[in-house]
Amino acid sequence: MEYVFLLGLALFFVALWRYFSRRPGPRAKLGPDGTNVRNPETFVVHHEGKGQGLDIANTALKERTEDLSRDLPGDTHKLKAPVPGRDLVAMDAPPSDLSRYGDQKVAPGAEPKETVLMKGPVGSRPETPEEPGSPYAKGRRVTDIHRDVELAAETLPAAFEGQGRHLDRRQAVSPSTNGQEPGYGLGRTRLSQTDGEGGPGDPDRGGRRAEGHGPEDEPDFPVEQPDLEDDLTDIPNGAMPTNRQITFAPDLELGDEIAFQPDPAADWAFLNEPEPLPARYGEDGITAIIRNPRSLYLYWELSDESEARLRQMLGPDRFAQTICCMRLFDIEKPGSRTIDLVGAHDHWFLNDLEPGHRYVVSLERRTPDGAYYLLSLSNPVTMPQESPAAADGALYERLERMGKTGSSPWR
Amino acid sequence: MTLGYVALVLHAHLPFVRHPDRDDYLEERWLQEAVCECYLPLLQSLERLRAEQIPFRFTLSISPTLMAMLDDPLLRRRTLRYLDAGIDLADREVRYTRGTPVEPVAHFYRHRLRSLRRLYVDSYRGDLLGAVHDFARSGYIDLITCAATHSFLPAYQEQPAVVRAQVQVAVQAFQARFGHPPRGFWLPECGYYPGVERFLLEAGVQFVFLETHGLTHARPRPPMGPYAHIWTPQGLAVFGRDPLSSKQVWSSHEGYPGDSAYRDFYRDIGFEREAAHLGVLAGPAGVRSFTGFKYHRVTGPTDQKELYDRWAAEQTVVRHAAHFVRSRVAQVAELRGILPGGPPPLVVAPYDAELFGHWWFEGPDFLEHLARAAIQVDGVRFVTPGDYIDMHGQGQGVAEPGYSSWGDRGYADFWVDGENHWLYRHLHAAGRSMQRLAREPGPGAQGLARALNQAARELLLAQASDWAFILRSGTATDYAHRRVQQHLTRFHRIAHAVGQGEMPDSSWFAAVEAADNLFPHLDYRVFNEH
Repeated sequence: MEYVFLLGLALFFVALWRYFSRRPGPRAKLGPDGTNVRNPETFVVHHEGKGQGLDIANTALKERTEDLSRDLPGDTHKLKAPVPGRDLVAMDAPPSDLSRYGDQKVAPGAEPKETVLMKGPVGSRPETPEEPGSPYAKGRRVTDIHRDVELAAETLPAAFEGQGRHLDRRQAVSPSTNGQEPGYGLGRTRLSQTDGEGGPGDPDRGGRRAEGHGPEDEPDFPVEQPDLEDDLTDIPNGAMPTNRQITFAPDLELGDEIAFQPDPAADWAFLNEPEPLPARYGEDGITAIIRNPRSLYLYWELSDESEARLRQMLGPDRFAQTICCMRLFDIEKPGSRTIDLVGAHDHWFLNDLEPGHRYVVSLERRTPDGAYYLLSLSNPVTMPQESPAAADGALYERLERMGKTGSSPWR
Repeated sequence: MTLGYVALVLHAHLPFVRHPDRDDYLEERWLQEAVCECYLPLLQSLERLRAEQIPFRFTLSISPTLMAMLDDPLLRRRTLRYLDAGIDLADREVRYTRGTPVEPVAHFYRHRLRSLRRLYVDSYRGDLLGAVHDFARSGYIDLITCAATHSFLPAYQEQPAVVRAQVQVAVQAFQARFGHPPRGFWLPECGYYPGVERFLLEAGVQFVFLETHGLTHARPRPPMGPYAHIWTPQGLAVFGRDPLSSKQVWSSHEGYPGDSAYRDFYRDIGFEREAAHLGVLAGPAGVRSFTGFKYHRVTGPTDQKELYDRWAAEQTVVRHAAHFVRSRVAQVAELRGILPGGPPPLVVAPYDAELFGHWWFEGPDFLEHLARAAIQVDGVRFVTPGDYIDMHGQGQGVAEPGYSSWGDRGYADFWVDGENHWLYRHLHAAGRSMQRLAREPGPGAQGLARALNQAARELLLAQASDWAFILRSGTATDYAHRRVQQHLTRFHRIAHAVGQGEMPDSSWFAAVEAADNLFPHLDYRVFNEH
């Protein structure tokens, strides 16, 4: 009888523990953020016995996570109300793919059914009063794009403080004030209308503080301009501020142009219909671009006029006998290399050149008797060097070997 | 004793992916992902360092297109919505995984996203550039800029006006935002050609970065290779990338990010869960996409990935950061042995900022622990190239750097390739057209300045190296193709109207202005080379 009682007691405690922990499953040795390396709690974990360490780690992790899920001033997303159509219905599906995680087999559908996914409304916080006027009240569609505009506006009341000044500055330099105003109200134009009447950016219109967060909940993040002199003296060896004159940049605020409403897609549609680029620009010319010490890329265009001029000069019969060709001249050497361009080419990759040499390429028409008629001459190009200048080889070899192999004893 | 110096350089860049017409462009998520995975975690790490008064110093290049997007109200709101959608999904994931071994990882993501949201909204009010500027004033960051729309400048070698405009517009945008001109300039893709320094010096730039062989192939040969700057004959300081430190971080096989403890990038719940569960983070029109929720670690060369263990990953980050610093100490010690008599060696380690956090999830933690490890050693100090010039101005003397880029094979092969070569015909033609308009704007140009300015914006946007890169790597080619086509079409339409002495169709033009709204200070006359 006693054994049955004790067993029942034990089962009761186990159930109690399960209920309060609600976090079954093995724990990984995990720090919740990037700071825990310096956290003594976590160091203890791995220097003590394994089981105990894991417990400490679990507790620390759990506390931290719970702390986090409590009052985070920036986490307005926690305040969201349930949204029709956005319930996590799909979440009830058995996590069939979880069985693939690591070596630990999880039976599909076993644990998640026990974990109560949705006790209250999805994503809601019981302690948050849902005011009728709140942007997070029931019935609002979170997926609505305008939510973000409002969210930003209400989350960032202070962002609007310099708005008027800032807008003035932007408008003074913006192209839209150089001439007439844009044809319809985008961005700046619309903002200038709402700017003066303390529109959505008015801090009094209800920021985050009005949403049930007491001021004591909010850690203060003073956005202060650090004193330059202090910085110069406070930063020891290593962080050396330059002695140039530093001017403070004008503020650009997140709330700037907050009243911008995305225009209907139709307004933008014609911007997204790219026309084909012109096949020809009606210019004569051949251009050479260096690819590497031994290769050039050439493209060209010949206008109808230049060919017509040549045809007129040579006569139609003689012109018909000519073929288009490309000649490569090495400025440092006599002679040239000729490449016949049979077919409708308009570009060429020219290889096997000499590093460090200077070339120019001409586009010409060649007659059967070997006369050339120039159509266009390229820009001269100096090919890059392919190797270091020859000198004090041993030292450079060591340097290069070091660069390539890393002869450092630490590797 | 300080044996040498390390200059860590992060280059933050994204193409201008602002689409006011719709909010479900996957490409716009590049920005939102970068903010949530890279820039905010990096700033969070810096906040911790500053709070603990741990000194650190590195160079951050922010491309003008990224600056424009980070300051854009519409994109800030969308970023906030993306963060919120992530937190919503994290809540659902915590419930969904309750009682499974995955639950702690889901908790981790929820906590992380919430803390990032607090940082973004409460601390920074969405103003990331302001936060970065604040760190610059505190001495942690040296801010530099990059070409206006991240154009691969060597491809415009024959259009000096275009190169000049890319440099000038970038420097003006930087000055307008931060109140002082940038001291350094990140050449997009490290693309350098002899002659570009003319435009950089004209804009007041003092130093740039090149791929290693930009310095090792210089004429005459710099005695220290890439381990100290050289001066071009015109007077621009040029730093070279250190291959060893680069490989330690970049390489997916030998580098740190490939460690088995780190989070795996590819296995994402975006490809595993129902779209209704993913909510806003599900891709548009049933397209599967990444959500940033990844529960596994690299594990090894196997498909059977094990669960992510955050604690183990953090320990590995600490170890790797210490290793990186020790390697630099050993490296500069060795260099001092090889190169007696010169200035102390400077190891320049430039990386894409988006590597840290997006590809390498623990990257921002690595940078934080780099600072913690650096204060424990005497051998090296983390400085910026500007600091190094101030200390050892002469460097390696005067030499002519070599043409180079950090792309595949070290030159322009990647950006002028069978897949993307057709771009340049159109981009160059538009560049010539813009120069003509800037030189001889025609009658009534005064009233058409607004149209000409927008034409200049469209041209600059079309010139981004990202389009050539995407076309070559074959990832989102339709998008890149469409973007180039759009901007050039808009450019030609405006240019045609201006050529007739009139403004373009007003409602169309207003929409174009509202869509491509970067560089409010742009003056089209920057394209006039005279």
